[in-house]
Amino acid sequence: MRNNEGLIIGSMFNEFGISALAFSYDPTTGKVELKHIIGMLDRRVVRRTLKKDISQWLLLLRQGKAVYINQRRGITYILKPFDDAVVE
Amino acid sequence: MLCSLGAGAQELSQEEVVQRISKAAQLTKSLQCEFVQTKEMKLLSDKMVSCGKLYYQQPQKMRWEYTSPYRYTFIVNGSEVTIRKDQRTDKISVNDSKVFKEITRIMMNCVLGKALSDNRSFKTSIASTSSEWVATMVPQNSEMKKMFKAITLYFDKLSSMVSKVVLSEQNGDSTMIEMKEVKTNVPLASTIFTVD
Repeated sequence: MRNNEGLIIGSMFNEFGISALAFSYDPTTGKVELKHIIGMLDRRVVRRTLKKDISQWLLLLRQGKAVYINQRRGITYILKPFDDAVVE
Repeated sequence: MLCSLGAGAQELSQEEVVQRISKAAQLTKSLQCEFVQTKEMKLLSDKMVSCGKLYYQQPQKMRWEYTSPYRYTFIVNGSEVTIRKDQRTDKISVNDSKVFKEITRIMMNCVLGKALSDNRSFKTSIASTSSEWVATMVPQNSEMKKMFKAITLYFDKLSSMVSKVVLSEQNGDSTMIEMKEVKTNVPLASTIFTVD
């Protein structure tokens, strides 16, 4: 993720480097916009769930919490920081 | 400088290049190497580097293991795929999943360059530098097309083996995998293709 003049921009990809989605998040409104999403996730209900979940775990992250569970959908997000050395 | 393969006296035709690479692939009973994977994210103007080890054994075994900065292991052993991440192990039969079957087939074919002969899945053009053949493969399958603009394989001319793979995604991101310390036809323990 990156802070771009107050807007958080992020990218999610798997271990092989294949991008799942890219998003922007406005901390003032809590609104998430999906900039790109991989075909297999590009369904209305999935997009809606992801936008809501990303907004929720970003809010929790700002509170110092690294786990968010979407009970309804049975999805757990565990956030761990990467070493600065691996991100250029 | 890249130049397309032409009919010059010293340049091989595309068909001849594919034949050389296919022959090298057939003669490769096993392969092991280290790899460095660099993911470039267009939106973030950022790069992420990960490292790992790759093992391959004919006809249908492969271990793709990330060792840094995360541990993740993807093993293909015949029709079974095993994924190990943290303490969790998942086993999938490729026969139960069309997507997995296709992904594992393409991965195995790209590692040795057999994908060049896969005209059903890719439209391929090959260019040449002084030391490498560069094969640009454009996916023909609709699902692959949605994800990738192209997959580019770089072959060392001396060995006719893949030295680098670049996955160019439709969203502008790309992932480069450089293979290093490549050793071919060394005996590999069967335990390499099972989960620890």
